[in-house]
Amino acid sequence: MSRELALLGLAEAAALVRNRQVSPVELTDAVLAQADRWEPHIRSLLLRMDEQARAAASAAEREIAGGGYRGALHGIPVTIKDVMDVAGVPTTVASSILADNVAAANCVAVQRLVDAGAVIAGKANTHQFTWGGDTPPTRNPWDVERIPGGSSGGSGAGMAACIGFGSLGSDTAASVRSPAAYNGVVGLKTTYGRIPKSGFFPLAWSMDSVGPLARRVEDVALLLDTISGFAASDPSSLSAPLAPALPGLRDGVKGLRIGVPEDFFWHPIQDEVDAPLRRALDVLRDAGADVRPITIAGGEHLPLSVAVSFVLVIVESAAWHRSWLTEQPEGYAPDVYEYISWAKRIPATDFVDAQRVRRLITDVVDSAFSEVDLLAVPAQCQVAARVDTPLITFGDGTTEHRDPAGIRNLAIFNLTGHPGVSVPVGRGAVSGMPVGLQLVGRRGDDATTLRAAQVIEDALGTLGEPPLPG
Amino acid sequence: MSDPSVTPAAAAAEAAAHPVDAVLAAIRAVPDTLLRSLEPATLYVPSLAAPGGTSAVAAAAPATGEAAR
Repeated sequence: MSRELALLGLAEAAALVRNRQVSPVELTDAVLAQADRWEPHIRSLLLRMDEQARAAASAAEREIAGGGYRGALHGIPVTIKDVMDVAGVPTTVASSILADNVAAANCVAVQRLVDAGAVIAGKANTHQFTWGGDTPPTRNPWDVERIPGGSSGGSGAGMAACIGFGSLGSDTAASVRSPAAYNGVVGLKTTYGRIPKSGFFPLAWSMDSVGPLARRVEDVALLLDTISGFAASDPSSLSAPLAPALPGLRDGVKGLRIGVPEDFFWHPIQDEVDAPLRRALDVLRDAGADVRPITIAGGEHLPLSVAVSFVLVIVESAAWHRSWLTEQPEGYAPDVYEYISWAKRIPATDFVDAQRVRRLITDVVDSAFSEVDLLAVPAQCQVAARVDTPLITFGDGTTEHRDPAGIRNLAIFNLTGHPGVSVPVGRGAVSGMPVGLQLVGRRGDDATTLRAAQVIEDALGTLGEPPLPG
Repeated sequence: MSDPSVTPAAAAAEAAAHPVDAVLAAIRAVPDTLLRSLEPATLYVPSLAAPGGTSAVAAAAPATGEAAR
């Protein structure tokens, strides 16, 4: 019974708790047992919080028994990427520099989950300082010889392995959507500013977004609606009222105009990735959406988004890390130190020019939304790479290093602030690895991206739990 | 001070070989005529009143940032 409970979706588990068919303690024990099974293979958690989780679950159980049910997250175990403060435990961002950085209070997003009654079960691993797409030592549960993506690789791998019913990640250039695609779960990069970042360790302030991951679209919508909303403590927080995602989640896509920009986003691509993505477009078409190929005016500038993202993330992160790079270089993984150190070679004029090109890219993407409601593009054009294989090979024979390839279709929307969700559409015919479609909406319209993702999930289903290695 | 054992030619070759140069080259290849038409993006980028923002959400939230606060 324990394992079956852990495999439920968040909303399903919530219904059982609400009807008192299952207690939060049972759910929490099921999740911790799932961690016992999977963690030796995938190492998705930097910190297990078994004792605190059981205590919180017991408290939730008593409160619910007393008639104090708070809502769908009450008594539900979730995990938090180790870039967000959880009171009483360290926020390390996977670095020894911050080993003793015990948080005095919850960050805003976590506090909203706690207020809703959620049980924090652990801190999920991150690529160190959120600066990468591999998230060592975490492995992909679909093939433990492959990367889980990153930097929210712990959240992505953990969700696929059913260690918790939801996870909060962060996305600066790919970091929620990449692990969602590679691990076969749902991940939303929210509209920039929608979820406050107070109490969050930054990578690049102007591109960072908090985002939820879960196995089902409805669960991501639930998490989104719980943690969205203005906070004065975050200067980038949006105060505008934004539509919640849950109310219209099952309204379908009839009449929705979905643009498929064939240039840049879809080429080059691995054949085993292209096929399930095309089937997902057929699903949307069959459901009544107006799925149409589009040519974005100015689209020839969009490939610059990778270079612009690199420059902005390097420079912004270097500003944060400057003193530590000098004083505590031993606290950095070699790849992270190397990337941040590139800032010394970037003149200020190039940084400003990158911001000018960012303006151009933003204008180009905005222009696409004058003719469509959503864009549909591959979340990744390749399946998760093997840990020991830095080069991606595409169907046309071209190769690319997995770092730039991993942000190609994703970082652009961190530059522009648009929301994008990666939803699983199947598994590759060759590798058996998950494939994700990214649906991108207008700024503030995260809800419509999830509505279309729900249509795909309803038709194609979820991928379920991978087979346990060995 | 530069390292006297490193010749200017060697330093230039080393600099040109650095991977960030390829990144910068992409941006530096943008024509000046185009760049001159562009002001830098602000640090906090989004505006819900963007072109094409005709959805119900955008209509309900036409302004953000300073205008909305």
